[in-house]
Amino acid sequence: MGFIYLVQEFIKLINLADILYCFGAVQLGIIFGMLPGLTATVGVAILTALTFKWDPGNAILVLIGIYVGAIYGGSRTAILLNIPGTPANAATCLDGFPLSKTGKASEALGLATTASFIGSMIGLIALSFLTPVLANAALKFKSYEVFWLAVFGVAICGNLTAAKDPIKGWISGIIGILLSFVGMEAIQGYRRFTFGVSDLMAGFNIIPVLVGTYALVEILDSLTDVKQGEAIAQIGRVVPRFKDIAANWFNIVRSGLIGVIIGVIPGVGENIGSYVAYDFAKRASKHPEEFGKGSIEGLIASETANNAVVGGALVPVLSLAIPGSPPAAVLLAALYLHNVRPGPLLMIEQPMYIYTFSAMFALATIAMFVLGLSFVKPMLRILRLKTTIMMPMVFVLCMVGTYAIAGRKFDLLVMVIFGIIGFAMRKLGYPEAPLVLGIILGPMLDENLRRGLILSHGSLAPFFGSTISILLIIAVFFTLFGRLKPVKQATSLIFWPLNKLIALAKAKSGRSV
Amino acid sequence: MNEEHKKTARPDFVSSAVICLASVVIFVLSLAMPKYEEWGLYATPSLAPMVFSITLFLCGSMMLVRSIIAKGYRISFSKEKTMTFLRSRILKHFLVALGFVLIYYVFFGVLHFVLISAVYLFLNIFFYRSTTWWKALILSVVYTGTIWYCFNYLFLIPLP
Repeated sequence: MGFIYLVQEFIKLINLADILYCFGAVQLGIIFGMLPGLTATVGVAILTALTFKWDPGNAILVLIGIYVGAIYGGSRTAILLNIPGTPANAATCLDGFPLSKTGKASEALGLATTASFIGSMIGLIALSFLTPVLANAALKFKSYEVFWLAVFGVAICGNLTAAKDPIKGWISGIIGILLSFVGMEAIQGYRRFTFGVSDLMAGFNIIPVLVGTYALVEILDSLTDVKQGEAIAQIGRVVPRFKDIAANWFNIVRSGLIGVIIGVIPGVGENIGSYVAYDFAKRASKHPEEFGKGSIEGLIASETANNAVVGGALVPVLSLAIPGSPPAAVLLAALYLHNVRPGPLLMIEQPMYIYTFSAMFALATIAMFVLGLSFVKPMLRILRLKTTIMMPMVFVLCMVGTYAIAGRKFDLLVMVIFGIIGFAMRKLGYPEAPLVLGIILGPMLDENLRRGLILSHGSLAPFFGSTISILLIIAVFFTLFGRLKPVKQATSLIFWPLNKLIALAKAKSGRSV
Repeated sequence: MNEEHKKTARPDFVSSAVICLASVVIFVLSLAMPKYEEWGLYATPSLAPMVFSITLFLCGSMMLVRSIIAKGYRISFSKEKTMTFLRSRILKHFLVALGFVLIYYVFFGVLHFVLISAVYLFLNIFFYRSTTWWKALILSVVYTGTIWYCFNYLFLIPLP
C-alpha cells in the first residue's frame, strides 16, 4: 500500500507551480553546495527563515529541494577544485579531483550525478517504507525509552562527529542540553536560567541558534582565512556511460545502504556517511591501490552514500522527531514552524504526510538528476564570485531571515552569540552538531526523565525495565565506553565462539578455492 | 597519550577549566531552584540541570586531567609571540569581520534596513579589496534594495 500512496502523492505534485518551486530550490541548493563555506545546513537554515510565511507545502518542498541539491552540489567543487563544497563531499575530493586532473572531469561529474541520484533513490525507499515501521514501533515507547533514546542520540552524535576526541563531542552535546533548559520548563512552568530576561522565557528559538552555529561560523571562518580561487578544468559532455554504472552496481547498493544506516543514526549525517562508504569500498575493491588516485569506485561510493544519508536522516525526523543530520535538524524545526508535528503521533494525526514528504523528496531527487546533467557550464561561472563578496551577502540574508521569524531583535543577538560561541568551539575542536542536537533533544530528555519518575513515584526501576530500554542502555554503554581496553577485551571474549566460527568458515572457503 | 591530544593540550587545558567552572556555576544555580516538594523531589525543575552539570563537570575534569598530564598548563606569554599573534593577518581579519557583524547588529532596526545593510556590505567588500569602491557601492545598494523590496512587497514581511 505504501508504494501506491507514494505514487498518489507524487502525482499530486505534478503541476507547474510545484515543479518550478522544486527545480528552482534544487538549483539554488546546487549553488549553495557548490560555493565553499555555504553548506546544506546553512542553505536550509536561511531558506527556513525566508520561507516561513509561505504555504507549508511549498515551503517544505523548497527546503527538501535545497537539502538534496546542496549535498549533491558540493561534489562539483570537490571534483573540479579539490575543495569540498560542503563537508559531505570531502571524501569525493579524494578521487574526484585526481580524475579531473587526468582530463576526466566531465566523466567524474556525470558519475557523481548518477551516483547521487541512485543514492537519493535508495534514501527515498528508506524514507517511504522505513519511516512508518519506525514510527509504529516508536508508538510503544514510554517516557523511559524516550529518555534513553535521547541520551543515545547525543552520545553517538558526540562520538561520531568528534571521532578523534569523542569527549569533546560529548561536552558539546551536554552544553547543548544545558542550553535547552533555558526558559520556562514544561511540567511546573518554572523559569530556569532566564535571569529576569523576558525574551528568554520561551528559551532559545532554534532557527537563530542554527543560523548562528552554522551560517555565521562559516562566514567568520571564510572571512578570517581568505583563500585564493583556483582555475577550473574544462568541461565537456557529462552524461555518464552505462557500463561504468553497471560495473559498480554492488558498490552503489552497499554505499546506499551504509548511507541510509548512518543517516538514521541521530545527528551524524552526510560527512561521516561518505567516508564510511568510501572506506568499505576500498576494503572490498580489487584495486584498493587506485583509491585516492582517481578511482571511479571511490567516487561512486562517497557520492552514493552522502545522498543516501539525506533520505536516511529524514527517517528519524518524521518517525521520532530526532534529526539524523544537521540539515535534517533545521528541517525538523521548519516542520514545527509549519505546524507539522513529527514523531510517533504523526502516523495517527497525519498518516499520509510521510508519503507527501517522500513524494517531495522524490521530485527533488529527479530535479537534482536533471539539473545535475544540464546547465553545468553556466553554473560553474558562479564559482568566480569572490568569498569576500559572497559571504557578507549571505550574512545579510541570515540577518533578514532570522529577524523575519518573529520580528525580534533579540533573535539576532542569539544568532550572533551562537555564531561567536560556535566559532570558538570550532577552533578548539568541539563539533557543532552535538550542541544543536543537545538543544533539540534537551527538553525531551528533561520532560521524559521527570515524567517517568513522577509515574513511577521516584523509582528508577522502570528506566531499566523494558527490552527497548535495555537495548538502548547497552547501545549507550558501548558508545561511551566501547573504546576502552577492558570493554574491548570483554566484548571479544563474549563473541569469541562467533569469531572462531567465522575464522573457521574463512579457512574452509580458502581451502576450497 | 595520543599525539593529537599533546598538540591541543594548552587550549584543552584552558577550555576544560572554563567548562568545569561553568558546570559548577550551573550546579549552584540549580540548587537555588524551588523544589516543588508536593510533586516529589524527583520532579524538581533542577533535577536535569543538576544531572547534566555533574556530567559536564566529569567530562571537563577528564579533559583537564588529560591536558595536565600532557603539560598543557605550561602556558608562556613571550612578548615576541604575543606581538606576532596580535599582528597576524588572521586575527586582523577575524576582528574586522566580527566588528562589522556587531556594528550591523547594533544599528539594525535603528537605521533604515537598506542604509545599514548597504553600509555593512560596502565596508566588507571595500576592506577586503574585492572590487573597486564604486562597483562595491553599486552592488551593496542594489543588493540590499532588492532584498528590502522583495520582503516588503512580495513576501509581505516588513523589514525595519
